[in-house]
Amino acid sequence: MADTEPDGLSPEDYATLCDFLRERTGLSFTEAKRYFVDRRVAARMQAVGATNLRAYLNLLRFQASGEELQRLVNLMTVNETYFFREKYQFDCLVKSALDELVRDRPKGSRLRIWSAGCATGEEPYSIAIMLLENWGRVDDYEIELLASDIDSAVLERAREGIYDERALQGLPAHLRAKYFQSLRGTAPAGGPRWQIIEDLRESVDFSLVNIADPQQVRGFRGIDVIFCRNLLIYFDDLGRREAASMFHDSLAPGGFVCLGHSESMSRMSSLFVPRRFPDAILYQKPVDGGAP
Amino acid sequence: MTDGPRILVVDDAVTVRAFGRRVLEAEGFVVDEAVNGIEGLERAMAVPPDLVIVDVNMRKMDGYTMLRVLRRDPVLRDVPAIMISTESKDSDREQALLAGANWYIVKPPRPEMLVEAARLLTGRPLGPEGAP
Amino acid sequence: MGLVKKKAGATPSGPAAPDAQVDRMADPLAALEDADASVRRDAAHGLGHAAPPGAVAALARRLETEGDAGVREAILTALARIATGEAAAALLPFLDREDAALRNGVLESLQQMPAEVAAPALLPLLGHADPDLRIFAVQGLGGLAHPGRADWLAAVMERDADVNVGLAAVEALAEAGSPEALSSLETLARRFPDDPFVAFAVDAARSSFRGG
Repeated sequence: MADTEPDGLSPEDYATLCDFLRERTGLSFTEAKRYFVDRRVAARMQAVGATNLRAYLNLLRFQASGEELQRLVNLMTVNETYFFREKYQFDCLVKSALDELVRDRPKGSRLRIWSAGCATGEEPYSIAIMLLENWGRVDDYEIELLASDIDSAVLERAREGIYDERALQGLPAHLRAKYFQSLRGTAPAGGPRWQIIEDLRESVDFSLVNIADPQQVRGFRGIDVIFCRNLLIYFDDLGRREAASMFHDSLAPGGFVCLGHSESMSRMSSLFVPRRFPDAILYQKPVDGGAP
Repeated sequence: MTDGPRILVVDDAVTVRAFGRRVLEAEGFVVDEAVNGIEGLERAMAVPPDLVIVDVNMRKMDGYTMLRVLRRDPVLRDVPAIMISTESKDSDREQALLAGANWYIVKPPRPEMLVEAARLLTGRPLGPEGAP
Repeated sequence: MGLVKKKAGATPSGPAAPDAQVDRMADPLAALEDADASVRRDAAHGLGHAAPPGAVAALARRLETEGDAGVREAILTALARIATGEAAAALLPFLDREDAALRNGVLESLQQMPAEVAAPALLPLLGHADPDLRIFAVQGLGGLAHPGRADWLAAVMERDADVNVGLAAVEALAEAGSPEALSSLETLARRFPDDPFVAFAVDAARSSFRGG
């Protein structure tokens, strides 16, 4: 518990940090979040070798790249995966990006969407539901949904597709009724359990992939859209640059990368051009396949 | 006070961005900042500026590349651009103009030159009578 | 059509690489010259993680002529990953290329190497005749966590004849500096007394580590 943490922040430090985060990011943390914030800040301070909070705050304030701030913010906002998380990006997919991608493609051709770092599967299943519900041309194309993670345990859960109430909170009732069946028994956290219907589970191809290993990524070719949200925050500068370069190679010309809401390609790679759609900014591999 | 022309300053140097902000805001311009070409494009796409001031050498996306992308964008293609650089050779100016710059300023920037160029390119009348 | 179903009983191993491509990867140095950009990119990336003798020279040679942006980036990250003195030295000649994207990508790779590798490569550039190369050297060195950093930046501010080189050092201090740099900052301000930008930048750097 908090009082056994030797490096926990003092109340003054905690208040300073929270003020800073609120001012710079709009994120606000109450005293109730104290333990949560403490642990993440302690982990980051250790990672960057900051011996006290003042040194760490200086880094957050003055680092030109803003990278450490981004990393901390992400750490504060992940672990909260659920269906339709950051839905505006899925809206962008079905309202804008896919239509652009298929503009010159004949009916019946293939579209490949890859959820990289899919964890327990909420993201790829959300994409599947969004496509079926909200993309009018879904039946005109053969859509391949790939999903990968480095963690075999979460992949197993993703394939099972069993979720508790919390994961489903963003889903309207009619979608819940259509794509989930309620299971007997209760979830580990209490409350009912729901399973994705078999038809949908068969529509996502899950695989164990370390995206830092080129051998393992080599099979991902001709991808049209890559979702990689809140994953690269765990990589260092060079690792992120390499991953972005690998995504670039996996994508078909004109293909898109979709990053988490607090991530930007401007901290990662020179290979993509930002594209602003009404719902979101995506990053595009230039249509001629070359440099931006 | 927020209705002056919008200027986006794209430079990886925090001192240059801060200087641009100080000098141009004093003249009634509204200033936004970005640290490289990609962020510059993101900002410009979010809120189209009336003028961009773009450094040449930046990591992730350099100024020439940013201007080339800008000039291909249907919404942003006509936004005037000042290129600002430490490089003062004729070939540097030429390269900037080819990439789509309308004006070239050699660093370090002089405040009066920055303001004059900004006024000309945003169509704001010269001199104090042009102030709001 | 619609969503494609997995085949029942298919192994959950993800999409397979084309066999031909796997074969060609047996000799990554040769694959670096393959006609297929994707093969070259994979070869470069692979060399970054396991560099046989000759890898650095082969990567640098390929960088000279490589026209594909993705392959070029893979070569730049591979050299940053190899991060030997040889790799750093191989990157230096590209810093004064006409192609701005290339020279900036190269500087980024140098910055992503450990300080003890990047510093010896960049230091001699502080004496180069071209101020733009000296600026790159200052930017590279200024971003390193190295015990020599403060002294290098101080020397630049006190002695470099080009105002923009001195300003690059000020910029590095504005990002991370300490009060020990004050006297060199003031020296720079005295050396270029009529430049309003110098006065502004020196002030900004000073207040960043005083106020922080």
